[in-house]
Amino acid sequence: MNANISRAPGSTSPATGSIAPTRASAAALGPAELSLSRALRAEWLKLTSLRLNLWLSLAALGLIIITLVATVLSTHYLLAENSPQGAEAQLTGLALFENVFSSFTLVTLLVGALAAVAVTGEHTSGAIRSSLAAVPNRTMFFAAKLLAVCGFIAALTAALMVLSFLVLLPMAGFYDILPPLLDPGLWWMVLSNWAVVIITASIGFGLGALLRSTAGAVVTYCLLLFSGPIALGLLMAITDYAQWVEELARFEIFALQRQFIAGTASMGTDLPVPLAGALLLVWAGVFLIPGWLLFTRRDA
Amino acid sequence: MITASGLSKTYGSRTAVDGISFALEPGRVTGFLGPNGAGKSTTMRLAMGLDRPSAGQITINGRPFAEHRAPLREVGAVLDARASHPGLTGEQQLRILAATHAIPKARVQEVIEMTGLSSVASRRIKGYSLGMSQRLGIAAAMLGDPGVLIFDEPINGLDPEGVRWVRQLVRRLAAQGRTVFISSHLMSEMAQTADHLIVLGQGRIIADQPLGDFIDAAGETRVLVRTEDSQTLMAALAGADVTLVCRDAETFEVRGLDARSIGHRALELGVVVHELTPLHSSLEDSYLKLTGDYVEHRSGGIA
Repeated sequence: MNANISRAPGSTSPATGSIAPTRASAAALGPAELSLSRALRAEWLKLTSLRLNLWLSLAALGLIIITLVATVLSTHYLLAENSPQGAEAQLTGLALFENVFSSFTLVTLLVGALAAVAVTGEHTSGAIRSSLAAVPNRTMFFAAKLLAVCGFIAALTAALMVLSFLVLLPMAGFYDILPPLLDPGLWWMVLSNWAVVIITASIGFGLGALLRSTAGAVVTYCLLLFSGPIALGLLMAITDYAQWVEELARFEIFALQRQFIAGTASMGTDLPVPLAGALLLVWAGVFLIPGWLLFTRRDA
Repeated sequence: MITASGLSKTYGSRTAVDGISFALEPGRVTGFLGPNGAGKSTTMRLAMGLDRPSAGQITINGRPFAEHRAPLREVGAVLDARASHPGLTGEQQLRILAATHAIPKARVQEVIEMTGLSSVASRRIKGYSLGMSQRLGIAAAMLGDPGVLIFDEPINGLDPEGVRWVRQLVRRLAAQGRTVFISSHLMSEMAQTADHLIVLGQGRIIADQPLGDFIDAAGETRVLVRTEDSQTLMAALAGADVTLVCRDAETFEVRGLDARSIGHRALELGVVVHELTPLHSSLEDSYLKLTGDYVEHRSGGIA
């Protein structure tokens, strides 16, 4: 194509180039065919280009840094005079990691909002029209966006976990409380926390597709996570810890997260770990599947 | 080629598009006209798969848009100038769209230069004027060098240079054998751009014909006459099928007679005629006459 740039005399607007293109050659356009992997790459580019996602990622980083600083200070205070020995030292070291990784529950809130905004932002800005002009197959678009969002959150969470290790390992070594690094329990804690963040955030994505409103999706997401424990707590008080309420409490999102991350059924009422993980996926599916169905059927 | 067949769209109890059928041929610009709420934008959204038809179908090159393997190569559309994420830069927006089809970065630069956005391509879209957003939309539409182009009000917000550029662009695209479907409320622009017109009124097609035929069919030819003895000539021309409208002491308009007949009558009367000019209807005249009964939102009188 030739692009003969010309500017209208005295024009303050952008100069218009050639009046119109000649037909572009096939070489100039490349293969120019749509595929899921290409749609995924486009969604990844979009996610990494938007400042809002950068700010949310920085907020998650800030949260982990604050947690790490607090952990370093409290560890220094607790172990300054009385250093544990032997097995107790390893348990103390493991508890250190557990404390830091428990803060990933709050990271879940931020990345869940990020996942919701990734969908609602398309609708509120009107960008959905240009997105669907390029990827009109809505199932492909939905899948590409979900995969990109989950991939982005997975990478961010992994980076935050690496940062946590980079701070905790030298500190644990300094105080002689290093847990055994090949301990399956330690790595289960890392991997299960990582999976929980991604699965829970995908609930935000599903809510975004269902509600198409940023405020609605983010508020509903927070309510869903926090209102469950509160409502069940009230219900337990009212019913004097009725059996059916305790049963119900096992299936609430935070309870499932705890049972899954624990790695073993630590309490008598706990569900088996694989079942807890599967039920977390069911929770995600409860919002993702209707979100996908509505997205593919509703006018954009 | 765009083909609609029995296409309908209802929103609740309101029918936006009511069983329309048409076929848009390659190599010509088809103008899409109609009063506000006539269903033009809805039809274009249906073509792009943004809305689902309530009945019938609309295809592009024989298939619904969503079924094409390379949608950007088939159709380029500007349906809403603001259909971009405001947090992206213009170049990012185009690169993201290009990535869906593995279109090279060089092509992105080409369309940026073509639309005159080079100086603002690295700015965030939220800072763009409406005209810049229109240019960005056109750049996005041209990314895949498609054979079909759909433009909904593409000159809104453009400066005169931009309007002229779009007009020439659209003509050139059609000359290259592409199908161009364009809506606008600016009749003067449409008169200079379109080869063929489809006019909608309350969701139905009320005209589907070449531009010239549309103007001739709906318009009335008038003749402007200037003479010092206008009263004599007007009295002689008066008749059942003739309408005379006096402009000033020496000038009047005649409807129902052609210039040749008026000239002959003046000669018979010995009246000196200084001007005898056929006045052709404009597209605007024809359009307003045709769509008068279909206007939903009518303006009040000017005080």
